[in-house]
Amino acid sequence: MRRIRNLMKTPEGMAGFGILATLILVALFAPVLSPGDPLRIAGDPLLAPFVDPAFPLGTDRLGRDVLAGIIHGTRTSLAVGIAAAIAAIAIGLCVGLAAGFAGGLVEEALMRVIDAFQIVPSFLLALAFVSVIGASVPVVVLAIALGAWADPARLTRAQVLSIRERDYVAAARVIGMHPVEIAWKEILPNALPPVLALSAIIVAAAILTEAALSFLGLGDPNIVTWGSMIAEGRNVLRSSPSLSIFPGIALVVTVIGVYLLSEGFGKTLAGSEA
Amino acid sequence: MLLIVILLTFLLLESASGDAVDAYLLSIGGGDATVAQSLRQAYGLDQSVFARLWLYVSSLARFDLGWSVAFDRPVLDLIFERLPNTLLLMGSATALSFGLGSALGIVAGARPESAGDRVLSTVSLILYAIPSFWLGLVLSIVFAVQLRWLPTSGIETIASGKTGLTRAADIASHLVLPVGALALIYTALFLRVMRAGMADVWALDFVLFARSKGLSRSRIVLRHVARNALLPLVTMLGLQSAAMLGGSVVIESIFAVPGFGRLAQEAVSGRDAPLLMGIILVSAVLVICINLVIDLLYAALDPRVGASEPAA
Amino acid sequence: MSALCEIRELEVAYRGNSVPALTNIDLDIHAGERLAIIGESGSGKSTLARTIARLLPAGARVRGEMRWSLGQAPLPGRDMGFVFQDPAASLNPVLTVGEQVAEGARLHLGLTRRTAYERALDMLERVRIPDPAKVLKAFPHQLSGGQRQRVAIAAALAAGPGILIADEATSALDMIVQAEIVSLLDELVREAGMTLIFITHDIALASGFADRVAIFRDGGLVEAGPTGAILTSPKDVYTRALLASHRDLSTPPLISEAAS
Ligand SMILES: Nc1ncnc2c1ncn2[C@@H]1O[C@H](COP(=O)(O)OP(=O)(O)OP(=O)(O)O)[C@@H](O)[C@H]1O
Ligand SMILES: [Mg+2]
Repeated sequence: MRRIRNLMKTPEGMAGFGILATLILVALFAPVLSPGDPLRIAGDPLLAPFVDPAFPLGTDRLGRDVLAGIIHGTRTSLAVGIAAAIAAIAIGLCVGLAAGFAGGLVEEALMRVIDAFQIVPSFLLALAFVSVIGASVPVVVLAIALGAWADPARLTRAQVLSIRERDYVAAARVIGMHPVEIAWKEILPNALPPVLALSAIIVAAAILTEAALSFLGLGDPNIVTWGSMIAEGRNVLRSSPSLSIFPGIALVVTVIGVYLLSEGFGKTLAGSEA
Repeated sequence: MLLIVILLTFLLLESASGDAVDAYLLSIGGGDATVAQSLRQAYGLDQSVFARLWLYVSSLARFDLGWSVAFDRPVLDLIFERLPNTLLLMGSATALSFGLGSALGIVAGARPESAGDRVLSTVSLILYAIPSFWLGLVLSIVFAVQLRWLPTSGIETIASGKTGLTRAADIASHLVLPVGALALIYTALFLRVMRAGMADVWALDFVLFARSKGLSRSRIVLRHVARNALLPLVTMLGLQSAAMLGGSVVIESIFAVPGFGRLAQEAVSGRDAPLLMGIILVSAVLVICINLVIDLLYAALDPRVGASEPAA
Repeated sequence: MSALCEIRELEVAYRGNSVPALTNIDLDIHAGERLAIIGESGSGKSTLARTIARLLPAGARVRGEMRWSLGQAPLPGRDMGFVFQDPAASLNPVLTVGEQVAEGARLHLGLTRRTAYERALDMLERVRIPDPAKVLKAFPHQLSGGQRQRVAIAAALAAGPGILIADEATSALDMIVQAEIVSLLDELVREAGMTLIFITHDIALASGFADRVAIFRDGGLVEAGPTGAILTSPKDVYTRALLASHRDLSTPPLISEAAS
């Protein structure tokens, strides 16, 4: 709680928190704000924005409400972004802990795996994974996590290596604590904060990757996403560019919110150290 | 390292190869069991997993990346045909973003917390949040559709018969938008890294020592602070090369640049798993090569790297 | 001796600190003297040095007067050299030793690149670095701590300043090297007739070669005067306590051993 109050003291933190809180509320109350299926045909096709009060942002080629799409797209973006980041950090923590703790050959092997995942462009990997397995929300989440876990894994291992040498861990070892117990009780809580500090960047990257995937037509076809809306608008880019521009703005605002929040966190952390 | 990537692509290929046969059969309008059987044999699907892995690795060792189902051509040929365009795109985007980003980073980092620094930091944060594919669309709306200054797609005017310098100029004009779209986000990133690096260096003792020598501010900023802050930037360049390669997939598909990334997208839509895996493998090799070059560059910039005997 | 600089009612506070790091300082610096500034950690020694050299961080508040006999304050680098405590940190790791020694001379003496490097070579010889031609092209990490501090001294003196401030210039070095550096400073200052402001927390070290000492405590000047007078008849209780903690002052200080 104190962290959050400190966070609100920095202008970046406050702005980021405000943006994300609003987006989360929009995502939670999407069915209330815009009832009905956002993919249904609601009116005449290609209505211009800011003309018809019933469709403030206009309609697309099929007559679907752009505003409704953006509101419901918030859900997908945030859900996929956050879920993928959680999955990536969970995998990264496990691998990093295992590597840092096991040492020896196991560590060597795990580090090579981490290396391998860092030299493969994560977007290409996600692309291949989704295209091979088929597009659905869980697959997209997994595909994004697959390309994002290596950084937290590396960081976790570095943390473990530095913490492992500290006195309290040595003390725990002397009193005969089981290694797994030491890892869980003594090391994980201390290794976690810097890894979590990375999480905002991972969330932002995940949101962007999800959008890029669905832009290329590799999103779940049954739900509305900002990326697919941008792709859909691209077909009529010359006549109605607004169809691509609005969901893009939503995307940019979301990512800016995440970055601001992480800047704010960075400042409060730096402040508490000084 | 590369072996693990190979294993990874093999596993993905494994889970896909069944589909490829089915997709192929579907595309030729269905086929009888014997055709399917012979196809499976051709892919080695009737053998054990390990035998297939061995087959895969040994053919890779002979630089045989397999046969593209969608193009009906060897994967490696296709990749080598497309690679130069991507390298051109990535190279230009890297040069542009590195040059511009570090220059602006020096401007911002020269006086931390000044008004100029604040403005540049805020702008770079916003730019960093813009997905390159969307930026690409917006740029093409503005410059190609509305203003009609630049071509929207392709790498050069088809069958224009241009040669020499005019051809180079033609290619350059085609590259402006995709390079711009790809470079902007990295410009913002490099700016931020450079600025943060300079802020760290300012706090070090040797900067105070340089000030005590009465050196001019520009010499301190450029020769002492920026010179040191360049090192983390070069590291970042290596780390980002994989991401940049991934980013070029979307950019190439927007601007119809016949490159490596667009090939990946075509592989996806053609359900061409061997081609896709070949692309992943080659890009991993490419990233390794880029990082080797970066390591050399780093060693050239940082005298502390590498074994060196104490003088005297 | 004439006063080179008269410091009156000096008060210095860093940004964000309501408590000043230095208060009410009255001190004269004489031309050509070796003045030792002595005090324990946090007493404000470095703050005084940085105030004199105008190297305080942005936002620091300075009140009071500093009157220089020349009429204008000495220019850092040209009129005043500065040597810091940690030789490992005070040299830029990615520039050659030669460049770092030459850059001050090049700017202040208006030398060309070549002559500035010749001057740097000359300076390295003067600080008695073995194989100076090789060190000129070396990077700081290739040198030992003592050699680095010699390089730093060479760089500080490259433009031939009349004042040298050494802020704990020997504290980070081991005993033997420390004595060597002190005797080097002693010799260089004597040769050139420079004013030396030598900052240390080691009263024994200072007493060996300073003309005058100034004792600092908690941001204030306790007392100042000729070395002999302060050592034999300290007026302040704090000085007495400080001296009591160094019982062996009567024994010949390290410096004379190393210099001999
Ligand atoms: N850059 C700074 N910002 C804020 N406060 C500072 C700064 N530098 C020093 N101080 C404070 O000013 C006071 C005097 O510090 P100073 O460095 O002058 O002491 P010192 O006598 O040189 O100590 P030491 O022997 O440890 O070097 C200390 O309380 C210190 O905390
Ligand atoms: Mg000090």
